Amino acid sequence: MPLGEPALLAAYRRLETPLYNVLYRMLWNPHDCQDAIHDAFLRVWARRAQVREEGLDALLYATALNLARNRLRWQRLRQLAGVPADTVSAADDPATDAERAGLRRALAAMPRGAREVLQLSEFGGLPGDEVARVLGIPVGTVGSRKHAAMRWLRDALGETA
Amino acid sequence: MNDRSPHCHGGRREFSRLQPPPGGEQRLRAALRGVRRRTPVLPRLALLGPALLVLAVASLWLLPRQPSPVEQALAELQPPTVHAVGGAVLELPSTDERVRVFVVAARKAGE
Repeated sequence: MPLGEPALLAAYRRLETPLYNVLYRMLWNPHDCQDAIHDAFLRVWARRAQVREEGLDALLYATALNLARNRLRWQRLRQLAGVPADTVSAADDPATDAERAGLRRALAAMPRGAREVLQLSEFGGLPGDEVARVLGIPVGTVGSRKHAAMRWLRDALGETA
Repeated sequence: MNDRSPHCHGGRREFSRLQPPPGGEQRLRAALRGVRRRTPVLPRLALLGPALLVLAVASLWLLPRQPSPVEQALAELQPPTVHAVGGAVLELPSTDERVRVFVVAARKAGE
């Protein structure tokens, strides 16, 4: 059955917060995250004739991740060109918190494959098979990448637990 | 969707669940209304064909028909001025009602 507006809005209510938590740990800017989520839903809506409700969540995650990656590339290009980044007020940016700043540095240094698995599973709360579907990788790879990501984080954050 | 933290990071603040800024759903609803108002391109193109056909048929009726060469020649035909003194002008029957054939029969002088 093709995608209808009620199903899309229900998906928005269901996925907005987990998607925001995933994208925030990529973009570190609340407004960029909200824009990327909004754009992802509109993109999926524009292709609604080909979209089935069964695969909707994975498609929305994959689209939002792609948009976030594009934004990151664009930010890096701006930095290379010497264009100052858009300013974010400290009140809007929880990354000014020292703990989050540490996480941000650790995630930025982490290999992309491991980072995306960690973001989807820990910040988005997706189960392993759903992470595999979003990233287009085998479930076993999700497990190994997650293990590597956790080890990386433990080392980077000086895990004491 | 669960709300757990990683096993080895249980409870750390950097893994805490963040709430997105408010108003996202209203923004999406407004955008969807905007998208719905615009007719997609393909249906608009599909309407173009029949519209052109109607225009073509209407133009056959509305535009002036080009007259045939015979009609044009007849329209340009001026009735001849006949100066017949002492003669007779006879009109011959014609199969075409738009054509009138005249015969001038001059009488010889002295007749």
